[in-house]
Amino acid sequence: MEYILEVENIDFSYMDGTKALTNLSMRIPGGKKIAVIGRNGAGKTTLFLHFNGVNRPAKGDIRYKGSKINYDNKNLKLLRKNIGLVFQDPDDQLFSANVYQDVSFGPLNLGWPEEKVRMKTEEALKKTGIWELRDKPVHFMSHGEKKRAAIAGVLAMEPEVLILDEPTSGLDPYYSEEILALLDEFNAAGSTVIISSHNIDEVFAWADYVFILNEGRVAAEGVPPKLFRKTDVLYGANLIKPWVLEVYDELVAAGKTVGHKQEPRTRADIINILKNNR
Amino acid sequence: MLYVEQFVYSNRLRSSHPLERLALVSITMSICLAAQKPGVHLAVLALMLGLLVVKARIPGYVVAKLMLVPLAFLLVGVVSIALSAGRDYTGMVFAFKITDYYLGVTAPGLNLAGMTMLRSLSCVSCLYFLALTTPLTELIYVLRLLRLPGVIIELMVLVYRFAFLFIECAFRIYTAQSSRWGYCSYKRSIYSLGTLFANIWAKAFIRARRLFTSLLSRGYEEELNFINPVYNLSLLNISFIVFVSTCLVIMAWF
Repeated sequence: MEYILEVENIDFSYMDGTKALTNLSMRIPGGKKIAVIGRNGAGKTTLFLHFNGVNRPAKGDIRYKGSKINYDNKNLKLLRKNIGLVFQDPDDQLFSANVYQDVSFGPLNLGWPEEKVRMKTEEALKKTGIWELRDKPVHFMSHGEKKRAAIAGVLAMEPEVLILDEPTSGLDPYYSEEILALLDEFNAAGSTVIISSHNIDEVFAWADYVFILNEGRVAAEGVPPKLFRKTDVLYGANLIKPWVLEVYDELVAAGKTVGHKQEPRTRADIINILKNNR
Repeated sequence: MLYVEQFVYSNRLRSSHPLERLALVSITMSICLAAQKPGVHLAVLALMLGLLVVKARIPGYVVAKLMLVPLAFLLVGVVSIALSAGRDYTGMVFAFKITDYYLGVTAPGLNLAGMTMLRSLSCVSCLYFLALTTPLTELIYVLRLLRLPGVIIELMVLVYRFAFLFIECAFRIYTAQSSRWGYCSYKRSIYSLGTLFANIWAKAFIRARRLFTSLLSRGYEEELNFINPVYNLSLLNISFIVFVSTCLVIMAWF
């Protein structure tokens, strides 16, 4: 398997002395849908800021596509074009007076000609479903709209890896699904998508590969059906087993899944199993 | 602030080139500041309010309310200009005797006060025309066209965005405080207001740092770049501006 991002034994502490990451190692397979989960303060955001070179590890290495991250200006710029980071609180990211200008900020920084900037900006606005809001000032937008505008601002830069810090937090189920569908689309075009989330069920249904972070290190990793059966690791990280998996395992134990091979991932899957069993 | 902003973003003059709006305002305002004839001021007042209500479709009551805001300040100022005091009352149209002195109004004083009032109102109406038809994004665009230094423009952008962010934040803290009886007595109110400001202050620093991180992540390099919509100058609007200014100049000086 090819790894797009590799982290080896990194340490990181904040200036106030809080140890955020301790000897963390992680290999992220390219072209996949990756989720990083863990309790509040486990180090997810800090880790993400390492991926695009905003934070530098005190110890250890980070490699992008096999080569070590180089922190000189030119290489950092390139890295930040290739690795797009969407922040959790859109108010931290949206600084411009209107949406169009904000989304065009990144592409302009890349030095693209105006034609291309306009094209990519408009594409991103349409993909995220906020084309109608392009002239709206940010302070008149709802949280969900701001969240999509923040994603558009990063999408417009055409990154190879898209990292989103809790993309669905604070969104209603409809918009959560819309955003995940958008990420699927982006992933289908060949890009790697990395998210963090507290919604276990959503991660279980969406991710190809999952990392559990606890106290600044990787507590466990794996494909969702395997990983989410390690209940002791889950509880140790303040997490729980996804309900779909829990119900399925109970059904298996009760011998009610005769003739069913595919493990369920979603609500619809489990309903299908129940229907076939009638 | 937010209430008025809604009308600004939905006003009907937005499709016109913002430079035209700025030009109209600067020309009429310069004429107002220089002109001595009351008729000119009344004409400008009528023109601006008319444009706001009829062309920009800003509701009349909003414009009226906004015009009342400076009126309170104006009245205080104008009254003090109109009043004069002296040991005798020659020349005073109307006077009170207070001990040895007379307090009253003279004809030139009244004239001056009236002119000051009219001039202020007409200038304010010009400024309101600009403020109510031109969202800050468009104003910034024009200022950039006029080659204002980049630093000032970037500051305007950030201040505009952050002002709203902090108003929102302050209101949220205020609501949270008052729902826990933070403003139940005078003493507690002072305390709560103090913590509110301390909080906002701390938040400002955190926000600034987070904003900087997110700007870095999007390739920020010492300059905030923006892209602007394409506006077209309209011959009709320009002729209108030229016509209005010529009329006003003729009214004022010929």
